[in-house]
Amino acid sequence: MTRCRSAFSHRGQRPLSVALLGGAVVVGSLATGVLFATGAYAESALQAPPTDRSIYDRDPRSLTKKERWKIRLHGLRVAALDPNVWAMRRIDRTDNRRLIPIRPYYLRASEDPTFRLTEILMTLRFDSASSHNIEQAPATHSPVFEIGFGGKFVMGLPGERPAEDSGYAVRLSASPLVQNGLVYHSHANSVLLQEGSPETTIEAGQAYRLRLTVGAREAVLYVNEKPYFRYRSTGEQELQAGLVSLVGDWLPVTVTDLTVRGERLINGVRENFSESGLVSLEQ
Amino acid sequence: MRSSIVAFAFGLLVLAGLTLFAEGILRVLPDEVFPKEARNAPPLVQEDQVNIVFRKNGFRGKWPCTDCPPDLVRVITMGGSSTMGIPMLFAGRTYAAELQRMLDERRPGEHYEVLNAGIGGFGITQVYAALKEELLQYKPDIVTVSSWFNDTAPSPGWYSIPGISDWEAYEQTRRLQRVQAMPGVQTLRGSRLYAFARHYLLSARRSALGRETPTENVQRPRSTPEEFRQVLEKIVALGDEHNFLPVLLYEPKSRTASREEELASNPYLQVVAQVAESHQLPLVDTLTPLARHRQEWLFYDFIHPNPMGHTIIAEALYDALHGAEQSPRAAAFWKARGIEVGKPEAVRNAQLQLETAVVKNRPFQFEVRAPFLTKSRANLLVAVGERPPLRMGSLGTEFVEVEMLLDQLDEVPPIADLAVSAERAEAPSFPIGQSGASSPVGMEIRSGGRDFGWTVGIAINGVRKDQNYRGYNAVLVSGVTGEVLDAAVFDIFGSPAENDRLLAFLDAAAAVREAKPPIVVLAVHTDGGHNVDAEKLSGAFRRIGGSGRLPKPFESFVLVGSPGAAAETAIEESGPRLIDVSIGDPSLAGELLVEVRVRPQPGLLPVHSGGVVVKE
Repeated sequence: MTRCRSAFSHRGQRPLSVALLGGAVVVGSLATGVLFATGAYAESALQAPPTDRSIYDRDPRSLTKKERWKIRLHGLRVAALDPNVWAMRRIDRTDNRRLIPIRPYYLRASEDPTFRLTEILMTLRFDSASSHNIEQAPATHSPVFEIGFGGKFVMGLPGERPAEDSGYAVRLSASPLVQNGLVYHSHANSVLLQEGSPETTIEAGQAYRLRLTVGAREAVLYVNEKPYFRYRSTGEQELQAGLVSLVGDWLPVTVTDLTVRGERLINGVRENFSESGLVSLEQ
Repeated sequence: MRSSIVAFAFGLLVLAGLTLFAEGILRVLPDEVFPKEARNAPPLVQEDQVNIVFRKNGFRGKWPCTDCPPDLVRVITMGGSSTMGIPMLFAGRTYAAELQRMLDERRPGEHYEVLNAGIGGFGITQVYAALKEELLQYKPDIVTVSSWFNDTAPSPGWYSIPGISDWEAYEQTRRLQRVQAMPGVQTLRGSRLYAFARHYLLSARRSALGRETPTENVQRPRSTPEEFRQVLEKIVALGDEHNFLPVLLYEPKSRTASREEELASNPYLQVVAQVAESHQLPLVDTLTPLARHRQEWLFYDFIHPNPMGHTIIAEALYDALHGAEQSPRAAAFWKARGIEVGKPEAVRNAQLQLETAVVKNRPFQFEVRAPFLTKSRANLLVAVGERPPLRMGSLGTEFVEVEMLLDQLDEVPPIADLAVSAERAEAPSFPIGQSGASSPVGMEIRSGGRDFGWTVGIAINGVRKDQNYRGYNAVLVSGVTGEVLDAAVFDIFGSPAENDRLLAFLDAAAAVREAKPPIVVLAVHTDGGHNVDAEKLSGAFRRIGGSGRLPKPFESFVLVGSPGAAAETAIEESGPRLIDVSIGDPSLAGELLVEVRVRPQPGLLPVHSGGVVVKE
């Protein structure tokens, strides 16, 4: 029998700057459920809101250029979002103050297991882009936007990939390289569940009024009041429960009139929920 | 003639005397009399930013070992910000870190170290400069190069000399640095008379001729494709000279098109392909797997991958190093090191993803084996979705065919995870001291206080699971399966609030309800003695079988115990030395790795984790 040399022989290492508590990773293990049930890992996956909200509470006209940029950094390209309403995941934190990275923002209320989504309304417009650039330079000119719902996220061990990262998403794309419709994501894979109606073409530079209605087993998207897709789930998973998210690609997108409606239990009483979370910087 | 020589010599003496006199006067006069530039001449050229930036940033994440296994294969990944992992806050998800995890898990008995030397803004010239001047001292065995995007940026790049390529600017800088380092030049630069004369002559010139107008800005990239090729060839030549294997990557962009389309439109990528082919080097095709996932969110912007993007790149890099198809240079490289090429592609937990609606009620087939199983007997475990794993018979070193009818899948989401793993038929049981608890897997733990190694390591079943950071590194292991339930680090030296977090971790461990109690592994990196809440921690350590004695400041400390164990029954070592603790048989680490082969079939989604080989 050959004894393996020690698995490591490191010395003089510069420490990694990681200090996260992770969730359980064993698929199907009873311990996973127990650990969550005891609340040991009830820590939110989303980044905590800033303790200082003063710049969000002030009149936009009084903000300096630096303060306006700080607000823009938290949100989509380039729709600023209120960190009390929408948050990024802690694992998506970045360190670059001159860039608005592509990453999803999650509705804080949707982390509540009693939250049930009923409707999302918004007006969406991709910045203009030529079809040539969309096809030849997709890295910088992809008009793609996703509204996520029914999401599940379980952190893995620190520094390792999440144990679970899945959910449904309305994908709107003005690019021929990316499919439109309702998709289901799980890690780096996705399947198209329902294609968008061919009667409605999504184009860059045009505004679209979106209305997504979500029931326990059905999701319907209307674009400019016309049905775009209707999806009926055959499984037991409730479409209304789970994380709600927004994410856009590098080509800027203007989001206005955003409203998310739902219900949740507060002190045992089911109450209606309605929030926007959009931050206007118009002077 | 003689008088001329005497006169000449006399003249030289007078001149030397006057020079020394003037130098003396200038040194005696107060500093305030002259501006700074007249007292100290600026250098001909500043130290190269490449060296400064590299020494300041260093490696991202792991640093090189100094007490390394003799068979260590050191891999250095080089490139710009995409390699560095910008803008991710945590280095643990870069493709270098992912590659390290893959090598640790899938190549039992072999030792690898993957160092991330990516620096934001680096182009091919800076990669060469950093490699030659900063990194060769670490004697890399493999150097991966991922570069082209920064080379397309407009000149000037790093050297602020407009109108010329990065390479020309680099050579100019090095020439000036060599001149500057000459003893005569150093003496001259140190002379007050030189500084004085230089300053006032330049001022006079400016007065007479006006300020220099900037030269017309010539628009050109930092490196043209041909210049890029020349520097890449120099890197390959460095590999020949210093006995390392260069591995070239296609640096990808967001929403990657197919490899053919990207190569057709990008002359830099064509150069990468041509250089790899002409030198028979491994070429990492990142474009094909990324293109397969182009509908997904794999990038933070147009060029910087996010963690999922980095994972896909790491898989492609692993495949180029250890996949079935080896470049001739790679095959020779592994042979020279006695490393078996074409070892089974096996992992601890092979994951496939299936499109539920398609595979439902249709048999799903795959083959599986445990290729390194020699001492134990193992059972095949298959888990679908969130259901507990099913035991599906015994597993051996030969492939067995498995056919599953996934008729229950309408109860799971549109994508179902199918996980294949192995468990030992007779679970080994490695006692944890006298605590009564036992571990089903081997562990190796190391602790080095500040002056005693300054290190830490916790390997569970051969795979490092510690956070490699200052403080108490903790890992929680299932006493039943040996799976790692949690890992964290508590930097009490940095913040006393970490005492409470560590206590919460230990409380959570005590709350685990399994057939056997879990194992808690604690190992100190640098220090576990400052800022500790001695009373609370001492009590908590006793409750997992420790003695309650805490390490002194900067001492090493290891505690392996279990909740509920009687005090002083756990494995515990502490003191002013490097501590190594080994539990169980480390050679068993590879036994439970599984290799899965699957044919393309309806519903099988592109693989997102290794260990699964799709047979065409």
